Amino acid sequence: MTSPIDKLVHALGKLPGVGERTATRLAFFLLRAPKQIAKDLSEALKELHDKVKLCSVCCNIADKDPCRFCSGGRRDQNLICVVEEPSDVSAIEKTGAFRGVYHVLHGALSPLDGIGPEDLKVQELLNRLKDSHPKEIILATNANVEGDATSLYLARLLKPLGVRITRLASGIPVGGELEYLDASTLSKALEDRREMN
Amino acid sequence: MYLKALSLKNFRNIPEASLSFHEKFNVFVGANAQGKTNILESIHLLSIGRSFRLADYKGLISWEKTEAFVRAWLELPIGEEERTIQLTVEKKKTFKNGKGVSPNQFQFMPIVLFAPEEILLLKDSPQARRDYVDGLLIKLSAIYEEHLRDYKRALTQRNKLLKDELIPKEEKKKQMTLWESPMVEHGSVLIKEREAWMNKLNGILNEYYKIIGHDAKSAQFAYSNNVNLEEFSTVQEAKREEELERKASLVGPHRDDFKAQLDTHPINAYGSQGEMRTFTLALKLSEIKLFEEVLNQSPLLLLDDVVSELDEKRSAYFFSYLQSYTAQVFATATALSLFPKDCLKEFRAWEIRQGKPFTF
Ligand SMILES: Nc1ncnc2c1ncn2[C@@H]1O[C@H](COP(=O)(O)OP(=O)(O)O)[C@@H](O)[C@H]1O
Ligand SMILES: [Mg+2]
Ligand SMILES: [Zn+2]
Repeated sequence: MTSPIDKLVHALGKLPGVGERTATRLAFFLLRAPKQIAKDLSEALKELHDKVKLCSVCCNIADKDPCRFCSGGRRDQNLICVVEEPSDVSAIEKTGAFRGVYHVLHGALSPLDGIGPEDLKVQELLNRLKDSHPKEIILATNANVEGDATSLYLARLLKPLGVRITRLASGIPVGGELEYLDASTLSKALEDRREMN
Repeated sequence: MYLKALSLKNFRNIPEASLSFHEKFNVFVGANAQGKTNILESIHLLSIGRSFRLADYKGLISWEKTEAFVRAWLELPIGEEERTIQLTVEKKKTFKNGKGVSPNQFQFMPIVLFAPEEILLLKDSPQARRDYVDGLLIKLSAIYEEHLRDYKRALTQRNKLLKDELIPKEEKKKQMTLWESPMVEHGSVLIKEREAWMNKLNGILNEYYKIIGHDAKSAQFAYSNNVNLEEFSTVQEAKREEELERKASLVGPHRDDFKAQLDTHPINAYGSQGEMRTFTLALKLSEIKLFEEVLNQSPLLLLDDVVSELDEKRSAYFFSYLQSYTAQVFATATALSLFPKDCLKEFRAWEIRQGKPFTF
């Protein structure tokens, strides 16, 4: 029988960047710290998958479906910005420079990590484009090797649909992950986006 | 720019050491496997944030320990800098004057290492020669490292895809091409940089070879590229079927080589031992000269067991070179007596015994 401590260490050890040593330290911290800390954490974890949903249109995390971008008619549905992660949506929102809607892929192509097109929300994007006909799709994946390959993949896939496809300008520092860019660099990259055909 | 002092904790076989250096010449002597090279390795780590022996820094932490420190005090044109590298099993942290920074915020400290195994470079695999040239160009060129990193990343992704047994061939073919455009983009920069820098290097190398070897032969470390810049994408395209067969990327600068030649004859096939030693020494001195030309500054030298590798003819030249060398030098040897008296006028020396330095 595994002890509750071992069980917790094992579970924490699965988090990215957490090795066994850190996991053990965290587990003993939770054991010794005021009970409320462990209680809050366990409640937050319990709620996570019950209350947080993916929007059935854009696949962004949302507390209602469709999300606040996809419903309410305040955003321009003719402009879809495709990003890797929900955190990229927040980064772009912070610039205040974008009035369209999003599509979140939940990752980028990476054979090394066993991630192929079927592991991304690509089919969801295609389904979405069956009913709506946006004027432009902005590919805003990260400015690194995997992000570029993902954009190239999508550009080829979407080309037959005849929609205008653009890519964020490459003024972004190499290896640039969107969420680490400051707002002005990011809004400039959006503004200077280039055709990708 | 020079290293004033170094302090180590749990670094390889060195539990604890504090050394304060001579501005010019520093020697570590001792029997084999005592920790002499380990000290040079720590200096190299401080200079460019990387070991010359290991890709994975965890091996630098003493066995049975969980944390190592390497700290140095540098005298720079702009004042003194304290830099610290803390190694734990989980990560490597770097500090400048006590503040956490990324290693590229360190003032660049050019350094050239002479390692005994370099004599084998000419006979070694193309991979070893590429690693050698990459290591050099990362230091010399401002853009090389990031393109090398992205090129290798795209190459590894493509190779992984080629090896995947589960993806059907037609799908593989489609996805292969996604990694080709970054390979061409970054690979082209590598090709151009290798061409340009090897050109420069060869001019210098040829001069040194003549002087050290008293030999009129023309010495070249000739760049032999796997594919020409202009043909990169077309050749890549043409090889796709074969690559699918062999499950590896066959086209690009990851298959380049650098061929040591005397009058266009490959030295590993026709050269004598002596010619190879002269060539290697000339190559190292050319490295130094390149730094001097590009940065207007002489690099620090790390000389690991060099004196035991030199015969009379070459050592005479090398020691007179060292005597007039203006930047700081760190050398290891089995005995101090291996250095000529002229070299040991102003210096500091330590004997290293089982990871502990003792001043002479
Ligand atoms: N991580 C480590 N922890 C403890 N000892 C190590 C570690 N790495 C290497 N060593 C030891 O360091 C010694 C080699 O030191 P080195 O500096 O190469 O010797 P030399 O004096 O011949 O140059 C060997 O005895 C080796 O076992
Ligand atoms: Mg040694
Ligand atoms: Zn939505």
